[in-house]
Amino acid sequence: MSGSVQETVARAQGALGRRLPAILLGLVVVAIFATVQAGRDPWHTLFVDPLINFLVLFNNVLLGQFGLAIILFTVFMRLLTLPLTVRQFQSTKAMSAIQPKVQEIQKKYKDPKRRQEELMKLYREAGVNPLGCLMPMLIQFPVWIALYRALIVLVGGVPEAVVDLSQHLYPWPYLYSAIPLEQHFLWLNLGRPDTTFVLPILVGVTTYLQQKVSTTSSVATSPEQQQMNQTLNLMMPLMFTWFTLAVPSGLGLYWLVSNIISVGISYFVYGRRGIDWRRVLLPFPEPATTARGAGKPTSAKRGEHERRRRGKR
Amino acid sequence: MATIPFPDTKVSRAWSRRRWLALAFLAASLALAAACAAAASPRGWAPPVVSQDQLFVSLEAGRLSAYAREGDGWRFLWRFPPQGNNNVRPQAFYGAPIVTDNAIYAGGYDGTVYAVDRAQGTLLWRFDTGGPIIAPLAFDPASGTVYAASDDGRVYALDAGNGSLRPGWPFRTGEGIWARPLLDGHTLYVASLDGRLYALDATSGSRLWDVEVGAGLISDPVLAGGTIVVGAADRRLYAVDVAQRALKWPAPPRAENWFWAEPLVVGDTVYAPNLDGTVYAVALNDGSVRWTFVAENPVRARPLLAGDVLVVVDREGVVYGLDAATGNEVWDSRPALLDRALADPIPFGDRVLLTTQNGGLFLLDPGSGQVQRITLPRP
Repeated sequence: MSGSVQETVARAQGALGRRLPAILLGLVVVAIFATVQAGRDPWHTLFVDPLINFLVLFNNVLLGQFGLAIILFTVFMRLLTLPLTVRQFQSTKAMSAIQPKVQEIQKKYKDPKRRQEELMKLYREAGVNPLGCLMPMLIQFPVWIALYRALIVLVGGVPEAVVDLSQHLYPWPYLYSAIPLEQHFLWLNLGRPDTTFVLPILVGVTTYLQQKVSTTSSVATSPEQQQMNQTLNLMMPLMFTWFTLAVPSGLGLYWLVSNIISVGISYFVYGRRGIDWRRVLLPFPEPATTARGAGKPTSAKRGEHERRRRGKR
Repeated sequence: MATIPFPDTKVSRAWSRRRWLALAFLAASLALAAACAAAASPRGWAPPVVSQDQLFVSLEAGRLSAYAREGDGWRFLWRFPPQGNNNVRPQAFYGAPIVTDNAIYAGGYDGTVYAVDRAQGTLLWRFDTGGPIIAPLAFDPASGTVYAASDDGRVYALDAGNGSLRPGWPFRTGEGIWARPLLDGHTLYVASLDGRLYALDATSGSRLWDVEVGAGLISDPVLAGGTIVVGAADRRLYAVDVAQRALKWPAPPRAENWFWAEPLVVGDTVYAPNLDGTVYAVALNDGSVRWTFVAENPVRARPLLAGDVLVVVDREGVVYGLDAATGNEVWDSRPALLDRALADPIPFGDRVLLTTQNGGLFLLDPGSGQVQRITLPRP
């Protein structure tokens, strides 16, 4: 009896989990509609302004330490979007698990229509939605963009930014009396780029780790995808290092903390064995086969072996 | 037998994709970096100064230009810092420059006070403070002292001749200072973000007295009839009785946003614009609100009385002419400036000079509200 109740609860939880992104998306659409009807700018009213005020609130709670407020706020936001992030990672993981079969189908069926049918059949049987990793990501995009906008308004530091900020604060004395915010944290001036290069390098390294963890934990379907992963692994850290050199350090601090949390979530989702740390720490992938090491297992093969071993267990 | 490798179409296709991907990332990174950098870079809102038929204006961020009046037009004199000088980077000017017979003094957002030769535009001296200078400078012609308040929380008194720090200075407050030091005789009043109004001995830099207001003081203070009026971060407008050394109004008027603009006091009325877009006319003796006028956008610039017309400029560049007695709108210039306007309007003969954030310079007829763009010769 209790077993059936547990099953029912588990089924209900599963159904809710599956529908969570759609429910959230629906709520957001309704809220946007209501805001537009009220004659207000939905982007700022629903996304940017609440984030700005939350950040100022955290700043006050942490006794005016705005650097700590950014760290705490980043952790808070990542926790808030954790179910979506975990779902995204799990979908990616599930897609990776069936990649050998996907490749098999792609090789076997030359007719695109038939190939598509077989692929859909495989996805159905495996209980995987190929768009499953996209939906949570799409929902998080507005949050990320709003967060960037909020941080830029808050840590801009320049008087023009403070004039803009005044238009986003809620009419609570606890919030608006805290302005201007303390811009110094550790060696950083949060309103200015870090000229010591320490923060940009840290952001670059953590972006690299985050990229490598997420790409080595999935199996690339084709050489093109492998090359694309390689390009991403190099481009993203360089890009974010460069950004951090140009933007206020407060934004760099957000990226740093966010990257560290992402690596942590990857570790949590994929597990210690799911992440091939040798591949993570190597800047370039080892060649698939070499003259000497032809018999040695490649990383992809090792991953497959690991999956089979775990499947048996 | 050696074979000649043929180009692998798959590999070249992949390489092509990589290149496109790299280009897309590069474009995205450029766009994001530009957006972020633009959001964080100071522009400044120093109003222009007209002295002896010469115009000193900062229409580009961190640059000050001088022009001489010639008939109906202007002739370019100099620009500071000159083109190609990378050692001097003021970043932006937020306060109007102090113009004397021989020199121009300006505080840069880079935290430096610059003294520039009035005739040549060359650097005479510079003095570095510990933080950005947002507050306009104050000048005492009698003692030849330039007073600079910095975001490092200190007030510096500098010898106008050589830029050396006067003995006994700087004076340190508990927070940054964004408001102009106010000189009255031998007393220098300093409104600090630490929530106190300080009265200092202008010569020795010693504290005479101070008043705890409670919230960070953000606007330039103004002195009228023994009362200092100043806006604070708690969205209230405060009056300090100098003789009593205490707050004057029992219930300081409170708005929906900060009083950042310097209030204008005419007779017994204080005209105080607010970032909530409202202009408040307040009685100087008791702080009661006589009338309000609601502009379309926030107002950061100080209003200006031209005849009977109170000229108000809002952040989006809409200029309003108000009846100073009633607050009724006489005219508006919509949509004249088509740019952000944060700098104070200044009188220019019987007209008004206005500047905008993207380097526009305008002449306003306060009688009709007609606005005319001034085109200055390029350096």
